[in-house]
Amino acid sequence: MEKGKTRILIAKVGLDGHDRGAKYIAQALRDKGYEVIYTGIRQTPEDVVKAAIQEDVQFVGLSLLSGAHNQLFPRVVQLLKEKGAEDIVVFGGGVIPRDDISFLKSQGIKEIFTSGTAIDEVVEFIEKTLRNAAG
Amino acid sequence: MQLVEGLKKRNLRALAKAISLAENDPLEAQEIFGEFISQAPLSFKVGLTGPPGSGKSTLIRNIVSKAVGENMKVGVLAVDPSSPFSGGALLADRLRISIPNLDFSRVFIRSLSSRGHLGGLSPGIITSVKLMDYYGFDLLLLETVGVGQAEVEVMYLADLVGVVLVPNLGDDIQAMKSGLMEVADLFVINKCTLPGAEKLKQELEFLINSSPRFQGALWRPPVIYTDALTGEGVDQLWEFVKNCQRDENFLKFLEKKRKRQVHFQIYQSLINYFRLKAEDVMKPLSLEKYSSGEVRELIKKIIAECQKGQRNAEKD
Repeated sequence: MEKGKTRILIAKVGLDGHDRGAKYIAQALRDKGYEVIYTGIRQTPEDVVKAAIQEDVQFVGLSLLSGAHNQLFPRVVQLLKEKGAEDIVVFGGGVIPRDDISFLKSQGIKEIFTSGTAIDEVVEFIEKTLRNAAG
Repeated sequence: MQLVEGLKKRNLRALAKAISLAENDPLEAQEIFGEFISQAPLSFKVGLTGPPGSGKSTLIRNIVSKAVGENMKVGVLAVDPSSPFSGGALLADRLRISIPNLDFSRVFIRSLSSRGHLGGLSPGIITSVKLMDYYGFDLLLLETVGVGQAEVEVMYLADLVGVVLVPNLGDDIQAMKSGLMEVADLFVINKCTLPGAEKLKQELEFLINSSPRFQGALWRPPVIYTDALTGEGVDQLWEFVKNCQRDENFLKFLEKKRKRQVHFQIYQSLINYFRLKAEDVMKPLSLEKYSSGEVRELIKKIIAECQKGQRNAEKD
């Protein structure tokens, strides 16, 4: 990945207005020195992907608490691929049953953080991913 | 270079990446893109500035929908402040500007961090704006960080500067101060249904009518009422934005204005250069071992070492 500031899009997809988690993550990542773009609630996967490309982010963090993650998270990954932007890393969080995590990972979502995750775990994931991409 | 090729083909991702490069390394970006983007035809640029929470982003959302409704291609560069502690930023302009089902084939929104820059914009803004010019938009909107009284850089980049105010921020003396209030080509009183809007309008009109600067001037800033949340006054604002581009006086005024841009471009390139130098010099220093009494000596030493062209002023 290129040098410079790491930019992260935090997005809420689908019909779910519970945004405390997304706001918490956005604020915490800002405090860790990242540039965070927050989309606000009720975004379509299409809009999230367009925002990710226009904002030139390295990561998209999806937050969902309504249960539609198995549909909406993979859709974002798929659309990024269609746009030739599969290098953008997608991670997710929210109320995600443990049994769904392996499915989501098989669909290209790099990591899932459920409630109670310490922010340092997210930062470690981001930094590790950046290091691996740099080779 | 791949990025340059992509830009020439008007690839959206290339534009996004080129702006990142401009923000990450303004000087390198000037080197790479400077020559071929400098000849690009200029888009009409509207800059909105004003205090935090005055409604700049929400007004931009309204302008974007008007423009898209008339089949225009619109670009938005929106700056939010960076953290003085972590260097990070929460960029939330997009959240207010973007509307559901927005036609993204016509709208390009980019959020920028001020990255410690103090003029209301960002270190790479000049090249970013030029890149947008090159890509080709019918209208370019620039949103500054929420400003105080002195962040006026937008006047060097925008063709039309709208200062967005809200009622009850201060008395008439506040409005008479230098800085922000002087750079307006247009005043927008947003949240105009709040009490105090009329009083503010009277104060602004007094300011304009009594200032020698505007006597016989080519352009005097009008005052427009809006309420961005309900959309009140947005039609008038939009008509104004379109009409001034055909106004003979405004165009003469604009011609003069655009000449200032050259001065700013050189100035900002120098500031960027010296800022990077300053960061280079500061980085190897162990600042925690100096008491405030010793700082003056250290500064002298650093400057002396810089003059010798050495990076680490601590080395003897």
